[in-house]
Parts: sequence; C-alpha cells; structure tokens
Amino acid sequence: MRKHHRLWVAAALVLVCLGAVISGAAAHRAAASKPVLRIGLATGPDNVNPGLASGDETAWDLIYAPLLHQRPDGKVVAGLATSWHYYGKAVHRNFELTLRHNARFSDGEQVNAKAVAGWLAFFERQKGQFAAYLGPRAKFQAAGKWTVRIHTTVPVPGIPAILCELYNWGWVAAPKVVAKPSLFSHGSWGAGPYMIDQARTVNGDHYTLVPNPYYYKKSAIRYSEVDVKIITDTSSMLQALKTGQLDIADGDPSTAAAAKAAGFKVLSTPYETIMMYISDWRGKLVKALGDVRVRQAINYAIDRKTITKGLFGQYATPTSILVTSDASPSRNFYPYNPAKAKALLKAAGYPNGFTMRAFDFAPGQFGDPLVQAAASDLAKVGIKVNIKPDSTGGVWEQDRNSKKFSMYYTGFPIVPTNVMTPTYLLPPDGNNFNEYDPVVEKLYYQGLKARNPIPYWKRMWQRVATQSYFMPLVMQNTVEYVSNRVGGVRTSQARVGMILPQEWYPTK
Amino acid sequence: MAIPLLWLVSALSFVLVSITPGDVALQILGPFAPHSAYVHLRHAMGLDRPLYDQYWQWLGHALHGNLGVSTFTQGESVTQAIDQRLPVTISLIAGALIVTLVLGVGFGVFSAVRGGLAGRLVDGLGLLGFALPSFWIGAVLIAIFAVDLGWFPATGYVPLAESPRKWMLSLVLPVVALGLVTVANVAKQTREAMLDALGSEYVRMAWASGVPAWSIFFRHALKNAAIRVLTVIGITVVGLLSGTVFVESVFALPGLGGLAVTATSGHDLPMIQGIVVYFTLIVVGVNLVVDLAYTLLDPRVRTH
Repeated sequence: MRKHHRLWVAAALVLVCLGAVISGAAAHRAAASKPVLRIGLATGPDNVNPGLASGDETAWDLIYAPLLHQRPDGKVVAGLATSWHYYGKAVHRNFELTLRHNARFSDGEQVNAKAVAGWLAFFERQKGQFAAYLGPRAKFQAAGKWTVRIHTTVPVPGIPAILCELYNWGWVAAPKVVAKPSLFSHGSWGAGPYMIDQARTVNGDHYTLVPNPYYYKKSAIRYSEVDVKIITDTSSMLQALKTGQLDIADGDPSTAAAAKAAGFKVLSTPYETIMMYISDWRGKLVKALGDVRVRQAINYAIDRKTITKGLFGQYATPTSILVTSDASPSRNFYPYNPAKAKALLKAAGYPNGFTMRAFDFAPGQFGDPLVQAAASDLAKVGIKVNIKPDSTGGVWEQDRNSKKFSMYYTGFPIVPTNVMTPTYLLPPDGNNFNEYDPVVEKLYYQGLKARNPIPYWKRMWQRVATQSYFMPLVMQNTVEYVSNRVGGVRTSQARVGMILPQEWYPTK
Repeated sequence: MAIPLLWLVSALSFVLVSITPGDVALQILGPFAPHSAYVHLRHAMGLDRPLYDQYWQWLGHALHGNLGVSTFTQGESVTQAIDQRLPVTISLIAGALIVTLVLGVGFGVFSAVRGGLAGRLVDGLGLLGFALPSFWIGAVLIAIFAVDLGWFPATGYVPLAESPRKWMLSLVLPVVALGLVTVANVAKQTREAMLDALGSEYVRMAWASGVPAWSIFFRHALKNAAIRVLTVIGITVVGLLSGTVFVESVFALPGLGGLAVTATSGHDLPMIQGIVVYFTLIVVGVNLVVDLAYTLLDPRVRTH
C-alpha cells in the first residue's frame, strides 16, 4: 500500500512538473510572441530616485504607475487611485483619494494607503524640484487600508494634476526603497507595467525594461521588452531610426524635415514658453525699464512670426505672453508694430532708445540664436542689448544672482498658474531684484482661496501682460518621430516629450 | 611617480570642478526650486563643508578602494558605473590602436620604400587626417555603411559576452572613425623615421653586403624607426582617450567619455574624480608599456 502511495505521489509530482513546464513554455511563447519596443531619447531621467528626478522620464512612466493619470487633453483620470476629492470647509486644503485594491509593486508588496502616505511624506522630505508644489509642511495620512488623506497648510488647487505623472509626486515607490533610498540604484520599485532589468541596464545610456509580473492590468503589457536608448546626437538619433534600431525617437527642428522625408510620422506640440524676463522692471539698473511704456515698446518691437519661421520652421509657435494651462490671455497680445514701439519710447522720453545688458543660455537654436534675433529687432527701434551667452546652468544662476543684468533668458512649460507664479512673481525667490507687484500678489492669493480661482488668475495674467514684465518669444515644440511599427502615440501640451508610452501598441 | 601623479591630478580636478559656477544641487533641482531646497540638498550632500574637508574625506575613502557614490544620481556606485563602461572604452581604444598600427605603419613603410607619389599621398592623407574631426568621419560612416548599405548598426554597443559577432559589428564604425584620424599621423612619423633609417650608414652597408631587401626594411630599418613610432603611439593613445568622448556621442556608446561629459555637466564630483583616477591609471599604464617596449627595441636603454 505504502509502495502504491509513493507511486501516486511520484506520478502527481511528475504531472505537476510537466504542467509547470508546459504552462511556462506557453507563457514564454506568449511573451516571446510580443515584440520589443525600442525608444530613443535625447536625454534620460537624471536620477534613479523619482523624488529627485527630472529630464525625460519616459522610462519612469513605464516603471512607476501614477496615483492619478493625466490624458493628453489634460483631463485627470484614475491611476492607482480610483476616486479623489477635496473635502472639509477650508478651500483646497484637505484632499482624499481612494486606492484600487489590486495593485502591487514590482517586488510583490501591496500598494496600500500606508505605502502611499509613506511615499508622499518621503517625497516631500527629499526637497526635489517639485516638492514645494503642495506648500510647506503638508501632512499625509493613511485613513484605513485604502484611503489616503493630504492636509496642506496653504490652499492648493489642482492637487489631482500634481499627483499625476508630470510632477513625480504620483509615482509611488515601494516601502522598502522609501526606508532605504540607496536601493533605488539596485532595482526597480514601481507599480507600473514594466520593471528595470538591472543586469542589462547602464544608467544614463540604456534601460532595459521587462514586464512587471504584479501589474494590475495585464492586458496593458503589449511588449515583451522595452529598450530605452539615450542618444544625445540628433543626427545619430535619426540614423538609428532609419536603420530600424529604434521604433520611436525624440526629434528636433533641425532633423524634422529629413525624418518626414524618410517616411516617419513627425509629431509636434508646443510645450514651453521661451522668453526673456525683464526682471529689472523697477528700473534699478536701467531707468528706462521702470516705465511701463518702454517695456511695452520692447514687446511691440519683436517680429516673432518671422523669427520663429526663420529659425524653427513649423516646429515652434510665436507667443508674446507667458502661456499657462489655465488662465492665459491671447498669445498675440503684442502684435509686431515697430512704429508703435518707437512712439511709446518717444512718449516715455527715450526717442533715441537706450542700452541694457542681458544674458541668455547658449545651447541649441532656442538659446542664443533666438535671443540674438530678438535683439536685432530691438536695435531697429533704438534699444541696444548687450548679450552675454551663458554655457552652463551654474553660470546662468551666478549671473541671475549678480543683479548686473536687466533681463535674462528663461523658459517654463505649460503648467497651472499656481505652479508657475511663485517661480517669477512671488517672494522670496521670484524676482532677482526682489521686486514684486502687489496687484499681482493680491489677485494670485484671491484665486488661491476661491473655489474657482480662474477668474482671478485671468485678471492676474492680464495685468502681467499689460505691465510687460516679460519679453516672451516662442513656444518651443516637442518633436517626436514615430515609425509605422508603433501605434497610439500622442503628444500633449500637458506633458513634456513623449507621453503615455503605456498606451502605445505594436502595429505589425 | 604614479602615486604622486595620481594625487596631483585628483586634487587639481577636485579644485577645478569645485570652483566652476554651479553645483550638483542646482543640476538636480533645476534653476527654479526655492532657495531653501538648495540649502537643504547642499547640506544633505555635504557640499557646504570646506573644500579641503570634502577632498580629505574623498581621498580617505579612495585609498581604501571606495570611490564613493554619484551625487547626481544619488546612489549609483562610481566604481560600478565606471566598470560597466570601461570595456567599451578599452575596446574602442584597443581597436583604434590596431587600426592605427596596421594602417599607419603599413602606409609609412610603403611610402618610405616607394617614395615619390606614394610619399606625397601619405603627406596629403596626413593633412586630411589632422583636418577631419572624428565625429564628422563617424557621421559620414553611419550614413554610408549603416543607413545606405546596412552593413553595421548605426548606434549602440553589444557586450562581447552577449554576442561576439554583434560586438565586433557594433565596434567597426566607431573604431574606424576614431582610428582614421591617428593613422595619418603615425603613417607620417613612420615614413620620416624609415627614411632616416634607410639613409643611415649601416643600411648602406647592409645593401653593399647583399642583405635581402625585406630584411633591410623590416629587420633593420623598421626596428630602428620603431622607437620614434613608439613614442608617437604613446601620445596617440592619450589622444584616443579624449577622442572617445566625441565618437561615443556620435555612435551612442556607453563608454567612459560619455560618462565624463555627463558627470562634468552635472557637477558630479565623485564620478569625475573616479574617471580622472581611471584615466590617469590608463595613461600611466600606457607609458609603462611604452617604456618597456623601448627596452625591447633598443638594447642601449636596457644597459642604462
């Protein structure tokens, strides 16, 4: 009897092993039947820790599932959280989100309220570039297993957008790495559809991603592997695409025509305002700039349409205002009118113009060549600008702090008003001459405290444009090349670079 | 000599990077973060400590074989990052050196022996080699041999362990782009040295004694000319190290050159220091090999 029992056990084991081998082989075949997606990026994520990362984070989009998800049309939809809302009497101060129950990190651990609250607190402690977006000393609380509450010390409208992909807050990482951040460089800690294959990844050069076995939506994994390659040389990027080494790649205005001629789909969307900030608008260095008519003359003197067409063709859009995602006035606020510019200068007492100093940021067409072209237009109405081209971010910061320049080069993506305003228009860091407009501040805070801030902020941006604190030039476009092997690729003003790679699918 | 040199180079690079405007906190946070965020991050990274203190700490760890972690990526081991990329750079330099030696010495000897038009051709090639930058040659090679003919991949690197064939294919174009620039110089130097050797008395004596031509060219003249060529090769290797920066960028290779550029633009001090140490060790190693080769080629050096 015992002998028979052993035989049965052995037979059962053999069957189980056979079953496992067959199902494993089937799974392998299924995985192998899916194609490999090869993405070329001009820059990679500059940090393995999403709390401190910036740059092109397409790879991180695939590794870290966001709490909430922003579609290309700007609408916020469910991600790891399935519902969300502000609550309580204080406007825009208390926010609650409820998590889905079936999400796990790539290390197998459950995505629950405790893990999410821990991540959000960690993110704030990191003091990365987006950490201030929820205001100072925000509190994060796990209220039950699936509910997370956020309490801010100042009103923060637009928390749903902040918890999406763009600002990294929503990219929840596993508790293990939150407890020991040095682990970020030794593995993959997100709850997204893919995870990093560390053995086949060289940070900063290429990232090999393989499917995350714990991802909550298996049908969204359409590729057996995703290879992300960083190629800094724009010409080499296009050549790699032509030889079939890449399926989709970052482009730029200088190679876009060649990419189109080679049969690739060229996607392009404006995403960032490139401008000069006339931060000396009280006229501390150059008295003339203290007069609003002079600043308006500066904006009327620029022929943005001609400059844009000449330098970037169809891959940039002229703008004479700072573009936000919620409350900007018309982009053609200051149409090209040199006669009006001269008249304004004359009325302000500067019929022969004046001279000022400025600095720009040299890299690429959107840097020094653009600013030189604008300066040439200013010279035609008598305003001479001596431009210092800066080559690194460090020199740029040094010059900004020196207070020796009346205006400086800067750029900002299309983001909500409450993200952009503190950067330029509010104390303590907005203006390098420490000059602020009380009308702008009042309208900003009125909007912040209102259930619907937009009417206040529209008035605020109207004021900013009328006062001519900036000399906006163009909207820089994101340019992407897509082969016919990939479908579902879209670009959006809501995101920088290629977006939503989790929505792409193989067409062949 | 190597140890004082290593110390001097590491200290110099530490000071030079530190006094450059900007720092890693600015790179990580971007220019628009609140001032308090910079202060917090600089303190967390120890960047607010005196420079000598920071260097002393780095040196202490380096002497124990620990080159630290990248301040830019926050956690990536410097040694690991460099070790991942070193094989690419070594493969590139070794390949380019082989191309340089075979073609450079070959052209040099040929033009010295044949003279006339061949000599002028080598001179012309030499000028062309100096004039054409490796990144331009790389771009042309990609357009012809990768895009038009499809013989080689346009970009990327395949590790030897993964596929020896693909490894070879991924290196052909970058090696040629890197090597062609130095071929011209070595060919010119070889030709000059060979002409000097061929014009010397002992070679005339050899001709008079009926020594076969191949023996005169290769056993006598080239052996003497090789000392000068060897000196040029030593300098060439150092030049190739810097040349890899451009070639790696054009061919998107994960080598030390690209890492050096990223680390420098990101003010990643530990990474820069690590690369400097490795580069210095390579240069010291190459000089040692050249010195040893002198003793093989010239018995007089051995007696000294």
